[in-house]
Amino acid sequence: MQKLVELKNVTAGYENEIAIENADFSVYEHDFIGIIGPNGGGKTTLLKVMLGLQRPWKGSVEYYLDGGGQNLIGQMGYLPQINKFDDKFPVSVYEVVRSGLATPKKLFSRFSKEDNTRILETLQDLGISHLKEKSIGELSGGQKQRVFLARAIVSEPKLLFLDEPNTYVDNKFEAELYEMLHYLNQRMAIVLVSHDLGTISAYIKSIVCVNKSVHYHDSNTISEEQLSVYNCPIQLITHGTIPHTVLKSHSHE
Amino acid sequence: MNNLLEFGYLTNSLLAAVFAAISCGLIGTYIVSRRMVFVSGGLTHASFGGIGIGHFFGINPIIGAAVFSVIAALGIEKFSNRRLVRQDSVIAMLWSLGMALGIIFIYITPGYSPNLMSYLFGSILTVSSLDIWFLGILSLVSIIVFSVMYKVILYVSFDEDFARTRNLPVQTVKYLMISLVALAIVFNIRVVGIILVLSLLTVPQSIANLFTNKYQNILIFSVLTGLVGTLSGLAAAWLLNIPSGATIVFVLILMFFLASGVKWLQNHGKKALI
Ligand SMILES: Nc1ncnc2c1ncn2[C@@H]1O[C@H](COP(=O)(O)OP(=O)(O)O)[C@@H](O)[C@H]1O
Ligand SMILES: [Mg+2]
Repeated sequence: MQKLVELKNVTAGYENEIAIENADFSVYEHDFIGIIGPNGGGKTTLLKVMLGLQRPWKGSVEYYLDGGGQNLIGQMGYLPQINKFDDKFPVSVYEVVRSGLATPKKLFSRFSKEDNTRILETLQDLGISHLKEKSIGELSGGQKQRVFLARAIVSEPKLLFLDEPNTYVDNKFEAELYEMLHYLNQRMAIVLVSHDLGTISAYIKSIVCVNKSVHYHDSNTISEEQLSVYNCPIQLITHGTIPHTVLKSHSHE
Repeated sequence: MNNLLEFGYLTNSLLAAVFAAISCGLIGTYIVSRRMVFVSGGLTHASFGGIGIGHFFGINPIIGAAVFSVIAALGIEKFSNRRLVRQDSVIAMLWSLGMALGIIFIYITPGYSPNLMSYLFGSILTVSSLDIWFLGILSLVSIIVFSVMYKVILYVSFDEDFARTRNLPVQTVKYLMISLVALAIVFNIRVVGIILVLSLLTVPQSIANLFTNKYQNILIFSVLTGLVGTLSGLAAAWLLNIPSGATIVFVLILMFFLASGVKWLQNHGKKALI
């Protein structure tokens, strides 16, 4: 399998405070990694480092995507944590999704017909065509997550990063989301951040525990003992109607 | 002769009103959408330091203020990502530091002191040709920047991190825009003054935002609303012989309340019909 990104002993943080330490793992084609950890544990920071938004203090992040790591445009999709958005921002759904196709070259020219088709298809795939002209502030939590997912995948990235796409959504949407991701996973590797393991454990292939220290766990199941070894205090039980623990094993092809 | 002079004043103030509406309509949209009103308030008051320093060294105070504010603006933008010091506290300091420096420098300058009231509350009826040039060029630059860079400004404003993942020139855009904000503030001080300039940069946008939430429409509608506000304010000030800056701001805010009323009627009228 082709390696896409490799973190080599990465430490990163803010001002004088370390946020993540010794992150040392790789993401391969068709991977589906769940990043878990407590609030403030450094999950978002880890994603930002992998996306190249934040420079590591120590260690390095190496890319093996086409173009040898230099030209990564369009090859990494990103769905940021939703709480940072301004609800009143005057921008339409169509425009938001279109920003997912922006490149420095295209900034001064018009978007092409193919781009338009691509946007409409993505909106259709995610079942939000009818929201096209709505402004982002008029949407529900679940609709917003779909729009941001559309923006993240409209460029057909090889690697998709999602930061807590399951917050502010109901259980029904969460289930649909995981089905969509399962389907997308056939064409792209996915790295998904979640504050608990919940139902995602059925879809992911490996787990990264982040609580300042970063541990890679090459399985989609994890026990209480392992979590305590990783110093990663999170909930194992879902909030759904049928409580199920991740100790149950799931078969993956 | 007297008539000709008066005619000159009138065209100058008309031009100032038009350019104020254009520059503030466009740049104010950036301020409002990014929720930078407090930063802009800080820059407005900081610019008074530049006015004082300019006065002391015998350069045009507006040029002094422009240089001072642009430097302050770039500094704020550069350090805005750090959490080490709270950004709002820094801005509050800059806010009062500017005012303090302004007063001190004007006080220690030998000779006559400038009419402070005209800086605090503006005097569109006495703007100089140089002021008009500054405002005119700024308006032209704003129109060009917003038409050529519309997309990147929108994307960077909405979600900086995402724009970075698309390799867009985020930092460059932010520096360019904050410099334009600083210049818009300084050049419009001649029109409505330090105390009131913020409303020229935010009220038209608030009115526009009542009726549309498309960025592009807000840009255009803010300029038009601003034009109505500055021109009718100017006319009212001229006719009633009252201070122009205050009148313009008063008219704009009156327009906001009228527009809110119309909006309310629109919403409730619809409901009543159903
Ligand atoms: N911009 C920032 N400046 C300073 N500290 C930050 C910043 N962003 C996050 N942090 C700190 O870094 C730590 C990790 O944060 P984050 O990666 O957001 O955690 P998580 O996503 O797991 O909740 C927290 O202690 C947080 O307060
Ligand atoms: Mg987070």
